[in-house]
Amino acid sequence: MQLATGQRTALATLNLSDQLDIAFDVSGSASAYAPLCFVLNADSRLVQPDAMVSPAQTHSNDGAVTYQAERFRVELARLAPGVERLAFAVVPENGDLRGVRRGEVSVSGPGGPAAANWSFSGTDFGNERAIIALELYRHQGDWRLMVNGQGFADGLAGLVRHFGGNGVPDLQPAAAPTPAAQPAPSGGLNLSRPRGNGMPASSAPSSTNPPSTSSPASTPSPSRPLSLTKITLDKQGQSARISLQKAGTQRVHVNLNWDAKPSTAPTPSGGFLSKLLGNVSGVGKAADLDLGCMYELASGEKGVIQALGGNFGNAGGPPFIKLDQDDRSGASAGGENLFIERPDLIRKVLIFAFIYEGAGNFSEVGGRLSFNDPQGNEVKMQLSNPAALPFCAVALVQAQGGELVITKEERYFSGHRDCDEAFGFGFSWKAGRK
Amino acid sequence: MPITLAKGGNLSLSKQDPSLVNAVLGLGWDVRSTDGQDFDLDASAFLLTASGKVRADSDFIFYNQMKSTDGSVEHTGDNRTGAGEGDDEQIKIDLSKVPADIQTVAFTVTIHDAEARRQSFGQVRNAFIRLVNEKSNNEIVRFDLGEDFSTETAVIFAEIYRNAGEWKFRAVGQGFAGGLGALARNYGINL
Repeated sequence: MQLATGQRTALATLNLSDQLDIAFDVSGSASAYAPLCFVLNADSRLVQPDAMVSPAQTHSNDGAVTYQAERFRVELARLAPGVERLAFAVVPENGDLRGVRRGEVSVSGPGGPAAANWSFSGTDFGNERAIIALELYRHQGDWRLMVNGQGFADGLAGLVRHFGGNGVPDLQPAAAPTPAAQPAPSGGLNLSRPRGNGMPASSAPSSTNPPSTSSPASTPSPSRPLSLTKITLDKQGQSARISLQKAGTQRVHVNLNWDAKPSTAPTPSGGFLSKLLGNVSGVGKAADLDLGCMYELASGEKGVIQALGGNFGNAGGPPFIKLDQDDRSGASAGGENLFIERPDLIRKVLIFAFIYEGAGNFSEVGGRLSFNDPQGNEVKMQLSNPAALPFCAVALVQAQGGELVITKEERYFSGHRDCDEAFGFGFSWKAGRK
Repeated sequence: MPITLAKGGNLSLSKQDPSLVNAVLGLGWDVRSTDGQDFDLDASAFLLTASGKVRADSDFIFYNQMKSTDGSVEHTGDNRTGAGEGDDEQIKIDLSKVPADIQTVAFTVTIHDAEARRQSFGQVRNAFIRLVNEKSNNEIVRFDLGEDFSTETAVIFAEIYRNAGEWKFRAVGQGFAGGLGALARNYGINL
């Protein structure tokens, strides 16, 4: 079904239901056309200041919207309460929409043929430098699709303003801010400023210095100008805290993501959009990373959760930690997800990533880990100093007082056993296959 | 509660709202929040004889001719952006003053200059058309233009017509190609 600009239709009439793909195919005079998804409430306002999914931020906080390779996958049933609308936009890296030779946005069931598509070209537009292409929205209980086809001459800034974002995002390349430069978030669940754990305390606020000079593989993390509640842990040993004042109700979502194909490091001199697009370039074979954890509960119970051996954990009973998905190809843009349902019951959880096959080591995969809570707080880290070993202890989560302390470890080992010895869980190990 | 009528459905105004003498056609929409030319929606009315045509050009009530000669139908003013709360344009109808040779009053909504501006109702936020009893403020019927007529640029919204001594209402809901000019010619206006 070819959709006209302005057309609205129920997903049910397209035989689409809960899961769908929104794919972009845009070519023209701009060097790139970045697809973006804004996660919105019923008033078309961002549900959180940073509720965007893009090539640089490949999943929504609820995990319902994921991005990979010019395609968003949407699972409507997973959208957090209050999300009533998703707006899918196109932003040329430079120039305006008049430079589009051929543009098409298609909607399909997961991996299926297009059920509907919207075609456009530069002659449809004036001086817009960003447009809203499609919107999915709930109307009287039904999900509907509309072709918006309108935009803003001031580009991404106009889009963000339109959706109630605070201020104009900084499009200039900048060194990644140190965590201490982030504004202190407010709300019932709090992220304190990270401590300089294992570092001189005075080094933390040095926002003008590059985050790390220790390795040529270290690159600034993509800028996230909309973020008010995010903390990026750049250095080994840095940590951040999540308060557990509403203990037991605050599920922590751990996401491991990586590039399906070996990444090309984004050039630090590139603009915002080249950073957005930085993750999709490069060629090579698919990598398979496994997310897992070693845990020790406050009760003393210990164990390992990982796809290898089929130990996916249990969300409804001890250890209240559940591994959600084993993505062996990287084809699912969501990567792998682990949920700590009862963070108040843990003593410590070591989050690890393990390369099962595909990429030879972590230097080829652009791995990144994030922690999210239901308030939209986020702690992120990149595997910025990859080593030629298949096992990475990425982060250690520890209960301290009423708080979780998340520390970036990024320590590489030859396998589980070495890691266990280093962190002192004391398991007995045997080989396995999945 | 307003009645939800399917396109083509009709109801007896005399039975639905016996107090109805003064009806108000209300058209509302949101100001464009994206860049580009404003959405300029227009409500219009046509006084039609049993032949389905106007008697004269004076039976076409719109932004350039705000009142019928008999005073039965009156447009309260052109809104070119959608600015303001509630109804942005209104057409008031005094059923007691509608001349006896007028069988039907037809109401249309069009987007001004839609073709050149490449606009359709689906691009307009919160566009609606409704019929209200002016005295009681009861909303008798309402359409969501964006959802129900997304690809249209002109629509015949409804007709109020005489039937066996009473006024009835028909939810026409029919899109019309060509804008207000084509609609007017269709009803017998000389343009």
